[in-house]
Amino acid sequence: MRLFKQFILRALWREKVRSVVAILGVALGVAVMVAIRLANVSVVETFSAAVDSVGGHASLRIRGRAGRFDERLLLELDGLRRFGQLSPVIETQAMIAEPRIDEAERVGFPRGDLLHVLGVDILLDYPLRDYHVLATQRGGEQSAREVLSLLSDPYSVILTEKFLRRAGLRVGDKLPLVFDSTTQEFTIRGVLLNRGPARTLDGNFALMDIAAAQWAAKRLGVLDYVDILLEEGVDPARAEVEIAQLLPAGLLVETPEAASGRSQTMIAAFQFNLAALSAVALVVGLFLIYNTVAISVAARRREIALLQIAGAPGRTVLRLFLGEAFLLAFIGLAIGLPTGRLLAAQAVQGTAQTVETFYIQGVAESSAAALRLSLTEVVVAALIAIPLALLAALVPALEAASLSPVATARGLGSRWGARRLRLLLLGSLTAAAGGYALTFGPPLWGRPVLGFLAELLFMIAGALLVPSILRVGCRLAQRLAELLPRGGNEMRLAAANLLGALPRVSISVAALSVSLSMMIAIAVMVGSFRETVIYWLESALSADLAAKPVMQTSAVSEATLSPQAVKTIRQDPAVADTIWFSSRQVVYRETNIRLAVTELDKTFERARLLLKEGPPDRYTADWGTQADVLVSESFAIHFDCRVGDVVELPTRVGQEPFTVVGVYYDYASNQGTVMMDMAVYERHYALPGVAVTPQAMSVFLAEGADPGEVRTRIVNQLGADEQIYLVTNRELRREVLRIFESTFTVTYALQLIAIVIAGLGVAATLITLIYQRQRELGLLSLLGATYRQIRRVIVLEAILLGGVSQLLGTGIGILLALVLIHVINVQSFGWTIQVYLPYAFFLQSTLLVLIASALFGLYPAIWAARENALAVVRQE
Amino acid sequence: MRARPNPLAWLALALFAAAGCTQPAADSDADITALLPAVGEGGARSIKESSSWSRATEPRTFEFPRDHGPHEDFQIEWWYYTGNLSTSAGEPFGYQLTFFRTGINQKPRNPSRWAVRDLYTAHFALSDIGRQEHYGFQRNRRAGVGLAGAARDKYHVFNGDWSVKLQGDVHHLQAVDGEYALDLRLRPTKPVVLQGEQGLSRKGALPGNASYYYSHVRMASEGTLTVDGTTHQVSGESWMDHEFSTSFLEPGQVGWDWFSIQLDNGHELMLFQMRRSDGPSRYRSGTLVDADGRSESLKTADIQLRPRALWKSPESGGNYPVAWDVELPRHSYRLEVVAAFDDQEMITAASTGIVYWEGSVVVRGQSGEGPVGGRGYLEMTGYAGPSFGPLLTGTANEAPTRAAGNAGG
Repeated sequence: MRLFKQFILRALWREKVRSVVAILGVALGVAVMVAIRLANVSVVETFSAAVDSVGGHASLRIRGRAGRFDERLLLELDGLRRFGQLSPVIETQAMIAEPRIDEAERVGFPRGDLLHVLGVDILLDYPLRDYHVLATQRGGEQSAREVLSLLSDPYSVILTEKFLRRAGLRVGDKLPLVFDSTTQEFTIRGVLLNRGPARTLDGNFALMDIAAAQWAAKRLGVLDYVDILLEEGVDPARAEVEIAQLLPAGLLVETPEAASGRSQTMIAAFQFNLAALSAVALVVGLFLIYNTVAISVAARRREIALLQIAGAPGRTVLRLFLGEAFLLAFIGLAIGLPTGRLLAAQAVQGTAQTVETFYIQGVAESSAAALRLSLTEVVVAALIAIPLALLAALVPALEAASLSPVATARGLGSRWGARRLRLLLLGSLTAAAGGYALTFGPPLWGRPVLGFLAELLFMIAGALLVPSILRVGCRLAQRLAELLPRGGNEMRLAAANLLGALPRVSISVAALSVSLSMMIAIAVMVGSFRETVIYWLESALSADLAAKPVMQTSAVSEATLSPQAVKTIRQDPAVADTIWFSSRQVVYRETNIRLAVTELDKTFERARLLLKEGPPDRYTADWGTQADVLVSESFAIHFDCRVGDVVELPTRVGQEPFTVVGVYYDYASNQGTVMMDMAVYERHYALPGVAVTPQAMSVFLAEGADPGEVRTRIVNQLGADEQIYLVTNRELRREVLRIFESTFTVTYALQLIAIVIAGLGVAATLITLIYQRQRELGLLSLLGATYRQIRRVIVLEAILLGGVSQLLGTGIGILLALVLIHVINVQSFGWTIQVYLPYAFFLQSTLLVLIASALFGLYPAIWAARENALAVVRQE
Repeated sequence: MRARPNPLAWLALALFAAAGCTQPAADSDADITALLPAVGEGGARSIKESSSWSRATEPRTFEFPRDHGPHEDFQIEWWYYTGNLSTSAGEPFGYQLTFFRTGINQKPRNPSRWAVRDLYTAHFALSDIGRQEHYGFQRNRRAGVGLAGAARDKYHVFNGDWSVKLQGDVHHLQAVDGEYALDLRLRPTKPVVLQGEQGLSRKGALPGNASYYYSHVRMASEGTLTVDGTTHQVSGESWMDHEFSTSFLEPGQVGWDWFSIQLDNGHELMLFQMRRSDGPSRYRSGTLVDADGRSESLKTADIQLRPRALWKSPESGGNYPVAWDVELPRHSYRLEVVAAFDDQEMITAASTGIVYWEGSVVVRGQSGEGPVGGRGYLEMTGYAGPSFGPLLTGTANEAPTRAAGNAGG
C-alpha cells in the first residue's frame, strides 16, 4: 500500500491533467451508458407500470383478433361467468383542451396534456381494479353503485388526486377535453386516490363510464377488450385454454401481459440500438484508461526497473498498475453515476418522445417522472466499468510486469519494429475479415447482435491499423516538409517525434479514430436515411392538404376524424378529391402489425405509392374484389414475405387468407404494415351497424386553389370544438423531417460526447508526450529554437495526429455506416436506405478536427515553451 | 309493495341522495378535502334528469299477463319469488329468486347501448334446511348489450342466465351460480291477489308513499335444485310478488319485517311492518286470503307482531328476531313463526353493501279453535349494514313526497 501511494498516487498527482482526463473519460462514458440505460428502463417501466396499474387484477383479457369488436359478442360470453367476473373496457386518450385555440395553433402541431381514459361499467369492473373514489368532503370511499351514479351523466369524469392537485382543479369543476378531434366540456365528479389505476402515467388518468367513453371516443357499438377476473382457485393457464375453445371465431383470449409484451418488443430493437451506441462512449472511455496506464508504464520504465532491481516481483508491478486503473475507473464511476442521472432527464425526453411517436401512446407524458437511479443501475454500471477498466489496463500492466530490468532501464521498447507493425497489421486484417463475415449473420433474439459485433470488430481493425497508417502519415509529412521552403524543419521534426513515440501515440490516435468513425458512421447513416425519406416524401406526399384529428399523436393512435369534419372537408368548393385513410393494430404471428386501409385506386392515381416489388404503378381492379393486399417493406423483411405469398390475417370472423400483390416503401413506421383497399376492408372487417370514419384524409384541391385559404375556410367552418390538424403539403413534410430529426437527437448527443472524450484523450497524450520530451525540448531551445518554433512543432504534431485520426475515422466510419444501413437497420427496422455520402460533411468535419487538434495541441505547446529550457537541461 | 321495500329500494334512493353518506372518509387525509366539494355541491349530485317518473297514487286497473311485464314509467320495480320445496325423500329446501329494476334515467341522451336507463339487480339464495346452510348470490347489471332486462311484449325478466319466463300460465324460473342452480316451473293455484287497496299498497301512516303490488300467493312448484353440485328433483309451493313504484318510503323508516305465509288450512297471509328510527310506532299492513282466493286487507290495528327470539349474526353483527308471535285478534289467528334455521342472512357484495335476512320459516298455531300449521318466508331489513336513516330525508326525488313535506313541517 505504501508502494502504491508512492509509486502510483504520487505519479497520478504529479500528472494531474492526464489523470483528470482519464477519470473524465470514464466518467463521461459511464454517464452516457447510465443515462441511456435509465432512459430506456424508465420508458419501459412507465409503460409497464401503466399497463399494470390499469390492468388491475385481471388475469386474462379477451380481445378481437382484428382489433375492436362488436359489443354484442359479449352476450355470447355470458357462459364464461363461471370462470370469473367479466368487464368490458374502452381504453382511449383525451387531450386537455387549451382554453383558447386560435387558428395559428390549430394549424400547427400543438400538444396538450394527455389523459389516459378508462371507460368501464363500474358495476362489473369494481373488483378488477383498485378504485378509491371520493366525491364529497364528508363522504367516504364510494361504492360501485355510487361511482356509477357519479358517472351516469355522459359528460362526467373522475380524475386522480395527483392530477387535480397539479392542475389546480377540484371536484365540481369543468374541464374541456378533446377526444379524437371533438372538444366537449366534462364535469369532474370525483377524485381517485393515488392507488391502483390512478398511478397510471403520473396521475394522467381519467375514469369514465363505458357508455360515456364509447360516445366520446366515437366507439359506439364496439369494445376494446374484456377483462376477466378469475374466481379464486381457477388456474389461469387452464382457464385460458378452456376459454379459448369457447370464444367466437373473431375473439381471442390472452394474458394482459401478452399485449404489453408485444408493444415492448416493438421498442426493444430501438432501445437495443441506443444501448449499443451508448456502450461505444464507454469503450472510448476505457481506451483512455488503457492510454493512461500504458503511458504511465511507458513514462516510468526507469522507475519500474528500479523497483524490479530492488526485488519487487512482476506480480507487484502488475498489481500496482491494475490498482491505478481501478482507482481511475472507480473515481470515474463515482462521478459518472450522478452525471448519468442528470443526463438521463434529457435522454428520457428524447427516447420517450420517439417511443411515443412510433410505438406506444402516452409514454412521453410521464417517463421523466419515473426516473430514478436504482441500486441495480449502480451495480450494473460498476460491474461493467470496473472489470473492463482492469481488462483495458491489463495489457500495458502485463507489459510492465514482464519487462526485463535491463531492457527497462535502457528505455528500449519505445519503438516498434517492423515485425511488430506487421503483426498489428495482420491482426487488423483478421478483425476486419471477421467483421465482414459477421455481417452475413442473422439477427439473434430478434436483435442485430452480430451486426454490432461486426461494428466492434471493424473498430478494432481500425485501431490496430493506426500504427501503420500513422507511420505512413509521418513519412508523407516528412516528404512534404522537404518540399516546403520554410517551416519545413518544424514539420520534419514533428513527424520524427511522432514516429519516435509511435506506441504511445497510436493508442490516442486509435481512440480518436474510433470516436470519429462513430460520428461519421452515424452522420452517413442518418444523412442517407434522411435523403431516402425526403425522396419517399416527394412521391408519397402528393396531396395539397392532409387532415387528421388532433389526438392522432402517435403512429399507433387510432383517433378518427368526426363525420362532421369529413363532410365539411369534402363539401368545400375547392376540394377536388379526398383519399380516405385509416389503420388499426392487429396481431400477426405474435407481433403487432398495422392494418392500413385506404382507397387504393385513388392512391395509385394520385399519390404514387413507391413500390419495391409488385405490379406496375397502377391500380388493378382486382384489388378491390379479391382478398389482395400490399405489404410494407418492413413487413416483407420481418416476415420474409414476397409478392404472391399468402398471409393469414385476423379478421372479424377469424383468420382469413390474403394474397400479397405488392411490397411498398414506407418510412412512416417501422411496424410491419398490410395495406388493403376499402372494399376489401369492408368485406372482412367492417362491423355491421358501426360507422367507420377515417383517421386521416389526403385532400386534393381544384386547379389554382390556394391551400392556405382553403384551410382557413374549413377550419373556420368547423369551429372551435372541432380540432383537426389540417396541414399543407409543405408543413407536413417539415413536420415529418422534424420528427425525423428529433428521433436522432439522442444519437447526435451520444456521438458528440464520444468525440469530446476522444479529444480529451488526444490532449492527454500530447501533454504526456511533451512531459516526456522536456529534456529534448530544452535541448532544442538551447540549440537556438525559438519558443514559437517549439510551439509550432507541437501544434503540427497535434494536427498530424488529428489528420491521421480523421482520415482513418472516415474510412472506418463509412464501413460502419454500411453495416448500420445494410445489416443493423434492416434487421431492426426493415427499411431500405439508399447510401448517400455526405462529402460536404466530410470536409467540414475534417476542418473541424484539424482546428480542434491544433487547439488541443496549443495548450501543451504553450506549456512546453514556457518551461525553463535551461532549468530542465540543468536538471539532467 | 309487499312491504318489501327491500334493500334495493333503499339503494335506489341512495342513488339519488347525496353520494357517500355511508362512512366517514377512510382516508382522513385533511388535505384531500381541498379537492372536494361539501356534500351536495357540484359533482356530488349527478342525477337530476330523473324527474318524470310516474307515481303510485290512485288504484289502477291491472291486466294480466301484460302487467307481469315491466312498468318502465315507474322508477322501482321488482319480481320476487320465494318458496318452500322438498325432495321426494322429504329433504326440505327454501329458495329466493328476485329481479329488481331501478330506473336511473328515463331518456338517456347518450345513444350507447351501455347508457344506463335502468339498473338490474338480482338476488338468488338457497336454504338447505336439513344442513342449515344458506347460499346467496347476487348480480348487479345494466342492460348494456342485453346482459339484463325485462321484455316489453311478454313476461320475460332476466339477468344473464337468471330468468323468469311466462309459458302459458306457468312461471319458469332459472338461475345458476357455479355449483348452485335452480330450475323451477310454478303454476298458480289461485287468482292474482291485489294487495292493499285494489293493488295500491300504502307504506306508511302518512299518505303518499305507496306502490302497486300484486301477488300469486300459492303456486304449485316443481323442478330441480342444485346444491353444492348435487341436483335434486323437488316440489312444493312458491309465492310471487310483483311491485312497482317511484316513492314509497317515509322519512325515518329504518327497516321492515315482512311475512308471506301459506297455511295448511288453504289460507295465505301477507303481513308487513315498517319500523322507524324515531320511536316504537309501527305501520302495519297485510292481506288474508281464504281458500277460495278471496282476500281481505288488514290494517295496523288488526295485526300484532312480537319478536320472541333474537339471533346475532356473527358476520354482520345484526340482531335478527328469528322467531315471532303473530296475532290477528279480529280473525282469531295466533301463530308462531320460527326461522327454519337461524343463519339465512343475505350479505351482498361490498359493491352494494346491503345486508338483510330472508329465509324460510315454519309456522304453527291456532286458527279459531283448531290448530294450524304452515310454511312461509320472512324478510327483515335494517338490522345490520349501512344505516339508511339519513338517506330517507335526503331523497333527491325532484318533487318531495307529501309525507316528506309533512315531516318537514
